[in-house]
Amino acid sequence: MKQQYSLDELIKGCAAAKREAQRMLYQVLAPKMLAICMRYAKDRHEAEDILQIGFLKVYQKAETFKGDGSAEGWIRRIMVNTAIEVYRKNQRMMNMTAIEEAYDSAQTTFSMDNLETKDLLRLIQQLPGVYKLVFNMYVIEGYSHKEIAEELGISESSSKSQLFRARAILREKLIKMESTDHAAAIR
Amino acid sequence: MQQQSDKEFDKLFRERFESLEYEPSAHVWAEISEKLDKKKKVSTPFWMAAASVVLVLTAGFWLLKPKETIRLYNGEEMTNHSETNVNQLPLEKELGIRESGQSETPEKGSPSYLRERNVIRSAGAGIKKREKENAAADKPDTRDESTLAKVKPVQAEIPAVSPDTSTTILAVTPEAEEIHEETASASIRDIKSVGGLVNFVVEKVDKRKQKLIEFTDTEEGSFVSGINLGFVKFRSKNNN
Repeated sequence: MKQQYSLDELIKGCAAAKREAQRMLYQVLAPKMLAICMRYAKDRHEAEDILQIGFLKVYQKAETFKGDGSAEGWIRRIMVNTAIEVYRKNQRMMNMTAIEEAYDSAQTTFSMDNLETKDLLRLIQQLPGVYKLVFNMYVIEGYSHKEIAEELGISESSSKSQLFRARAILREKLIKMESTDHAAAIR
Repeated sequence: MQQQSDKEFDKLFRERFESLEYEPSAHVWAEISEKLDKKKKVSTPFWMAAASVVLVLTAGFWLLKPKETIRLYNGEEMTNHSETNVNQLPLEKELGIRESGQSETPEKGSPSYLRERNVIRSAGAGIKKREKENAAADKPDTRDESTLAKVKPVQAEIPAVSPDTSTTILAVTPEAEEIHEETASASIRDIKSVGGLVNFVVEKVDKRKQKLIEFTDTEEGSFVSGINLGFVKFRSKNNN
């Protein structure tokens, strides 16, 4: 599909509730947005739920898009916010699983070259609770701790310590994965 | 083993995920477009619109009936003017400011005549017609009393009573006029649905904090979020 219209134009069409514009915007951005949702969700099913809710929000809010920033950035933010909302909703139903003690594992170097992205994705998905949100928002989305603190309703220092622990958990798991690499391949 | 900074560690993740794409399943768009369709079809049923118009009209008639205190005031004055005269002084002053032209020559026209003129003058916006009818319906009543009031005080020692009587009635009209002016000057905003229209009309007619009937627009359409019939009150919890 050739992108004949700019994102801004498509959002304008969405503001006028034009179905064709809505469909085209989805076609252009859904794969990228789903990749974002995947990192926040526990599995693909939940990620697609977030994607669906997020796009409906985009159409609903299209009128309010001023066009002073990047259209894609605006939609990304809506997706991340939706992911946070869904996380909060599901959190209530989940029984709190004991958070593993996160100790500062050795500062080993990981190349990650021999790890597939889907494995890394699974590592992120398995991060407990708020660690996952903070890690995604800070490391991949590029939010500041201040922004994260505002979005999640936590303190800045809490955001920092959550990120620290998230990294520690990931490092630890990466060590395990590297050592059991062969075993995993056979399995 | 080398030391790896947090920044480097983060960068490895970012590089992997920044430009990642996953093709969503086909059912996702199908569900989105289904939900968009549903949203379109939801609209206020006709009976709801009709019922609210009737309700608002009824409320208009009921609320705009001239206050009975006017009549009570007159009656009181007939029996006991020395007291009421004192009370009336500020009213008279106020009237002098607002309607100086008319209060100076109160006896030129009968009070009911003046009253009618005021109503006619302020008529213009839609709701007015009703109010005029209302006022007209009460006219004979008012006239009877005002003439009564006029006849009696003539024998009284204080000559100021008779102008007072007429101004008492007049005092109500500027207030009524204020309501008219508000109606005329109100801008039409936030009217996106039948519910919004009803809210607009109700707001003009019903000055209480909790309106006779109140609609709230949601994604699903508009619904009644508040009812206040004096003795029965209902208010949706989502609203403040």
